[in-house]
Amino acid sequence: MTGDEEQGGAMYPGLADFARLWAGAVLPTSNVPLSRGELQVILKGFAELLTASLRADTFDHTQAIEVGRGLVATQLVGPKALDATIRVLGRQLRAEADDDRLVDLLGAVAGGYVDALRDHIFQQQETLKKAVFRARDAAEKALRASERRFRTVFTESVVGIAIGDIQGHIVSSNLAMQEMLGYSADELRQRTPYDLMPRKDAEEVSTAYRQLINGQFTSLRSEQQMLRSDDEPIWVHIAVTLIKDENGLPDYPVVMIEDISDLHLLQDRWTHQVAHDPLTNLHNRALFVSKVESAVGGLGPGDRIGLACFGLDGMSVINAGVSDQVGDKILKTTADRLRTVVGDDNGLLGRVDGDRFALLAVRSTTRDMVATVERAMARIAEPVQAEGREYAVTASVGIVERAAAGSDPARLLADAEQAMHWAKQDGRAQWALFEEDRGSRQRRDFVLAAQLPAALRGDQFSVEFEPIARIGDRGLAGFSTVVSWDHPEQGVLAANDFLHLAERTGHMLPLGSWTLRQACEQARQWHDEHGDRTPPLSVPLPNRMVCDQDIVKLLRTVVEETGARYEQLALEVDNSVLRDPDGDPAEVLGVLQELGFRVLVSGMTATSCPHGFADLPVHGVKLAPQFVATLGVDDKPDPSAERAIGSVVSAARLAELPVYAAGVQDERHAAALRELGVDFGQGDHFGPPSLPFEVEPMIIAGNVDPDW
Amino acid sequence: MNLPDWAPKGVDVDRASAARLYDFFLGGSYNFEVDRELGRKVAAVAPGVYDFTRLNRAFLRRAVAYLCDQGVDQFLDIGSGIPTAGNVHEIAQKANPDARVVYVDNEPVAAAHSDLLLDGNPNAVAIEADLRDPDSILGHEKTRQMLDFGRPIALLTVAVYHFIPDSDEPLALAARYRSALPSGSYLALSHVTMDAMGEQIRQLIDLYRDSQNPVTARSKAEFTAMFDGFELVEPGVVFTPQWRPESPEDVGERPEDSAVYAAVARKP
Repeated sequence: MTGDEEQGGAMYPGLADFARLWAGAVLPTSNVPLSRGELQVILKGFAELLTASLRADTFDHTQAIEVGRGLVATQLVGPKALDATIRVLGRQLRAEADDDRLVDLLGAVAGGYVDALRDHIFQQQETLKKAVFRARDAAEKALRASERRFRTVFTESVVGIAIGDIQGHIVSSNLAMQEMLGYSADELRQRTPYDLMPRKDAEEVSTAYRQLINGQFTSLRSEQQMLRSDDEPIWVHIAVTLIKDENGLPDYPVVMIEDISDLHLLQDRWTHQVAHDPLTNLHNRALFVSKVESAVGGLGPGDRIGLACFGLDGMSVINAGVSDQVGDKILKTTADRLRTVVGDDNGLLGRVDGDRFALLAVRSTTRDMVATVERAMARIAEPVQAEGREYAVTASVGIVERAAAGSDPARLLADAEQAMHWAKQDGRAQWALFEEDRGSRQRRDFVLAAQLPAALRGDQFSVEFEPIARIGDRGLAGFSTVVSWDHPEQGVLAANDFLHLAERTGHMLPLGSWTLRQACEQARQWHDEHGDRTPPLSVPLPNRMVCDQDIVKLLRTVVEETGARYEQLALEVDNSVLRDPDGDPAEVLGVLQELGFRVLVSGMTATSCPHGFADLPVHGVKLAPQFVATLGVDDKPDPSAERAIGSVVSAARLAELPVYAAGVQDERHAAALRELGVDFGQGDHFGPPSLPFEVEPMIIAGNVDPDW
Repeated sequence: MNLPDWAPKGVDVDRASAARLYDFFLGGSYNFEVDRELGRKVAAVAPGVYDFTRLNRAFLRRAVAYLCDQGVDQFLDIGSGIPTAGNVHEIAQKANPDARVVYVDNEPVAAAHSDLLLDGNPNAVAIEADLRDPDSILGHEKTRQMLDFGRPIALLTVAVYHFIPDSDEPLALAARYRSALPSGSYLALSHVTMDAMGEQIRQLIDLYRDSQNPVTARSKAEFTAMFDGFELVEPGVVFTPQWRPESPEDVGERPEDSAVYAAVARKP
């Protein structure tokens, strides 16, 4: 400040103090963007101008007015700035001039100041107005842009959008919404979204909407069914959002719906594909069974239900021998034909296995079922054109028809399939009605067949010996080896109950060898004890074993290992094996005879003619028990049965073969057989199959009536 | 907040705004009757308010001048309010014509006003954004264009944090901003306190409650915590007139009557 003081002091000493006082007085009054020193420099200049004006010969207002303006320009614009300035100027300039001139000067400063301040204020207000315009403009632009965006979203969206009033009535809706629901904008107005829903959903949604308004949630989302104007239901995702006003109070709702029917359709299609056979477009097995279940569940106590299972005959031959394409064509054609037969009424079709179709009929009768099946079989049997050729395929059909009440749905199909197998076994291209007895027997067979291997390993089989007597005097002529199964659940099962299963399931060889070994061991044991009094032991030799190429080796091994004697063993072969076109039984039997075995042909019935036996190396024939049973029971003789048996016996006689009879039940049988010339018999009349120690007394006694 | 973020903020001139009240207390005319009405009420119970604002404004001026002396040439002024005499860019560009300034205010009129004044100034911009949304400011296109975050920046948050209630976690916000600055940057801050002038400030807070910007006063310790990790430059945390005064008279006998703490700190 020293420089200023010196400079100013040259003309007007004391100006620096003037400026310092002035600055100190006005600084607190205004927001001056200057330091105290900077302000003092400016104010010192003003002080100098004013002093010069006062000292001038003629007074000029101009300088004072400019100072007043300059104060405003220096931002000394606070409410008290002028007041503070006038006070400082008055005191400081009092000595420089007379009162009139001073008052003029102060008036001019104040005038200039006020004038400039008005401009300053106007200018600021003007600027502020501009700023507000600009802000509003920006806000409006943003709003317009936002509205444009919203409008675009609203109009162009594929999502249906509606704006509602607080009661939920639609006020405005977009095209997507109108198209989705099939209403015009006017029709939608005054409706609520829940007016367009099935009643149950509507209640839920309107409750949720009230909760939304009450502030329990901020938005509402769900997957919902809505009804179009044509009452067609569509699936939608619906979202309801509540727009709030600036006070946070609910203002209006925005509803958005998205049509997801396609999604549902896709889902349905997927479900369809999972549940349908793609080739024929019929229900697959799983879906068919579940349809059967729901059908059974929906039927009344008096209703009946029918199920037919169609198995195409010979499809494996076509698939393997012709082509899969032809096979597919046949399957498709069959499906189509079944459809035409079933029509829409009460029928339900399924492809339950590769070449197997099923048809369900509710409120059926057996007669209707059979009629439908026969029509279907006729249609299926019509030739199918495939790859330029005609194929004729037949179906074997199993039919179940029973009261719906208490029916096990899973059983229905299984039983129909069972009956279909019977139809196939009986010669194909026919239908078979399911019969409970046959069915349960077969079911039991399946169970037994499945258990057989484990039973063999588990030592559940045992052999018993059934005495063979001379019919004339009940002298002991031998024992027939009978295998039985001590089943853990079903008790002791006779050979008849399971031997055919062993044959079918391929367990005959091990079971037969086992039986043979037991018999051989017993034969050796008895021979050791009773020597030549021991009668021959006959062992059934299943067909499967007779035809086995290693049979001779097997027999020799067993006999030699057990130490039995060939001539003590009689091998029984079923007469059916002698007619086997593929084998050469004579050769096998010859070898057996050479080894020293005795050979009996068993299972003789009316149809098995023993004429050619003379040339065969056999030692006798045995009548089948069921053949013997034709003689009847009690006192009612059956002359035709006697004739049939008589002719077999005569034939055997011609071949010089002794005749045995199995299944001799009583004295009447025995008498009749004796009359007809049968030599030996076995069966209850001569004693049941028994354990070795039980029959041993017979060996000692030499007859079947030992004195215990 | 149900409106999507692309919905614009309204321009509200029916309620007093802190920016225009501040202008009113500074003797400016960038205000409306609604602001002046509240301003007069405030001044009636807290006559010191004219001094609070003027002295705060003077602190800002000195702080910017000091920062220019330190070689800082980039300024981010958040809560800049209505542009008025002695704006940051005027002070800074007087010292260094290449100094760059970004003004930020959440009040649309204040932001528009700054924008209006800055027409034709290539080195200063104004944006409308809120201190409470740091990413909207730090990541703003204009901020990124104007400021080089690889070089020191002076962040000015002068008389603005007292408009942030505790529920908006002012300390976390301050930390967020501090972390965004490069080393060598400065933070200049001032804040209303009740450590002095308690009664007047209490009254002022009461009256401000109905404005767009309610006020929260904070203690010296709370204020100091906003600089956590920065080095306070001399004289540390003081009342506004005590911060590097240009003459002893500027401090006055009762600097605490300014009711506003001030400090500047440097990021190490």
